[in-house]
Amino acid sequence: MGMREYILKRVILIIPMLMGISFIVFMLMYLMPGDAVDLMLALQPDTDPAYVAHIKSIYGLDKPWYIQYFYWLKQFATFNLGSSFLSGRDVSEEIGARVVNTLSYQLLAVVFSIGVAIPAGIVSAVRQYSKTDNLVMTAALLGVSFPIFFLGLMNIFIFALILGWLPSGGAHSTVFLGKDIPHDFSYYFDYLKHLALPTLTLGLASTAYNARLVRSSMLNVLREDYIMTARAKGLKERIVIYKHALRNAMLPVITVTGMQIALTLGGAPITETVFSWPGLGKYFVYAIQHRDYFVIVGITVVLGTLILVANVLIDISYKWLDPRVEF
Amino acid sequence: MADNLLEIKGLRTYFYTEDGIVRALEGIDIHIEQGETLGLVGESGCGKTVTALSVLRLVPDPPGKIIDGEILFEGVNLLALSESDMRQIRGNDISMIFQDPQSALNPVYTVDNQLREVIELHQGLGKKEARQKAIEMLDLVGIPDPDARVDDFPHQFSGGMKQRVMIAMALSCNPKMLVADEPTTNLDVTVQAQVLDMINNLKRELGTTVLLITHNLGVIAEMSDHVGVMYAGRLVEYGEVDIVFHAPLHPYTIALHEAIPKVTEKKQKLGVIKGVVPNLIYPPSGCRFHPRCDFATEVCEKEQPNGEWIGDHYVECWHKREGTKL
Repeated sequence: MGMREYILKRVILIIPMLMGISFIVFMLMYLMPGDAVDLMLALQPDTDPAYVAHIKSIYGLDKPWYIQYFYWLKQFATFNLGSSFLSGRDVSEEIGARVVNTLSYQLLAVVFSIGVAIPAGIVSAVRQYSKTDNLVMTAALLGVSFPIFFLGLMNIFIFALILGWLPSGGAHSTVFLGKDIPHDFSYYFDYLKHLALPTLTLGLASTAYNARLVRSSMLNVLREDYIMTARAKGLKERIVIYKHALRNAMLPVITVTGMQIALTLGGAPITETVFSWPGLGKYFVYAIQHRDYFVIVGITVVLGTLILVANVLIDISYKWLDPRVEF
Repeated sequence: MADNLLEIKGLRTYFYTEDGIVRALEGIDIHIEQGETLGLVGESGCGKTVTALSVLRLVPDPPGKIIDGEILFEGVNLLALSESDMRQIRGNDISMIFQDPQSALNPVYTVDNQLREVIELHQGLGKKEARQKAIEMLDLVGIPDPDARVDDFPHQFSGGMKQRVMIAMALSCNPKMLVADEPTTNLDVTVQAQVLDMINNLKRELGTTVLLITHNLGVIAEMSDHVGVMYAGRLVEYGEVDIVFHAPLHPYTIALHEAIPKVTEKKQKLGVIKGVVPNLIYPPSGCRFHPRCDFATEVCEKEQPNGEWIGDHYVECWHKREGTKL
């Protein structure tokens, strides 16, 4: 099978997977007690029940969940994610306003993690059991041991409270909130400053893991015969490591990075809650608390698509790294 | 005596492991004459490969270290060279082929890439000329359709073809010496013969000196001019192949021969060397072979035998078996 058919097949497979994901989420949502209307009227318990029933019927909430799922699916087929019970705006619009915020720190965290973990892992492997190696591995052990919310709080404590270098939460300083704010350099610089701590927190956690992975993968590769062949050719150690060893050592790292994308996107609610970050994760938690069904499913579908697309990209990069891979 | 291309004097290579110091090479002296093939035989773990790696200074460090001795290549002590001078020698003056062609080529680069790399490095050729040279080398080692195959990846070649690629790579800078570490051990028997023939032909054509390492006495008989028999980090016997094979002096060499099945004899039982290869962290006292030797006496247990030259024939034994005919 050629590369093109393979990619096409994988992209087409995304559709049934999204149907499966949305079905499960629908099922789970309706297992939660109460719906959006119940919660809105929670503080007015003496509302006329007939009126409540009328409101529910407008939103279709009086139907069984599978019927509601069917309606949703019909809508979804025309790329319509429905509208929010709470704001009344389109779910796609609500998500669109937040998805960039989530992707920005998530992608930066991956770049940060790979960018730090690869050199750290290589140095550790090449100088196995040296002081540098011990230092890197101890740091990495600490990094993988801390849960992300703890790392986040520590970062806020150090960089926002003690040093005062970076803001502790949000995406913009108050002067940049409101209408008619010029999107000039100072605006983006302010955004970057706010981006720093979520990126660092998420990045550190996966850096720690990746550095250990790069090290062990590198150690395995360095024992391979072709490394000896490369040395026997008279190549410089730098070329032996960066040309012959690194590319082979990257294969497992790519696999794990692919899985990490799912994990860190799934962890977005925690990261964004810690940093009051106006992204999809925080909105997701809010939507669950208020039983904003279409928002919940909408975010799930969007995150699911991102993860599935990332996995296709990962699989393609295998082929690019390792010619032995056949699709 | 002809000019020696390589002389190894008193070489000691130790491995510093967690369990103790492995004395892999305990003072060996070997010389290789210009243009000849020297075969090194011995059981697994006797130090054949470590000798080869020591010559190229590629013993993995840590844990390995060459702690003593001299390796004179054209009169220059390789052990005294700087790392960058040593790199000029590797792949250029001395190149090496390994036991397992399946894993000796980097799976993620094309053959073109891996061959060009060494040609560009040592011969200063441009990309185009290097590629041309790579194709010539593939043709020389008998790879059909080299123009097309040069762009293939290693996994697209069979085991024998991969070893040919390795040989092409090793010979592409016309080295003075080729170190072949069990070059045919992992190949099919028919392919083995082809590869050995090819090494022999190329050696004659290019005038390359060969250090051939194997545990296959048949291969040595076929290929070598001289043979060195190694046991537990020592060279125990050395001489012309005919002499060492037909009138060996060391009990170990004799035992090795008796362990080979022979088509012409109707022997029921093969000779066996009793015991196992010694642990080189705690090698046996005296002669390292004495616990397994049929002729061992008290002196063997206590004292390391002195090497003895009888003409061109070297042996290291208290009770050399003169008059043996095989």
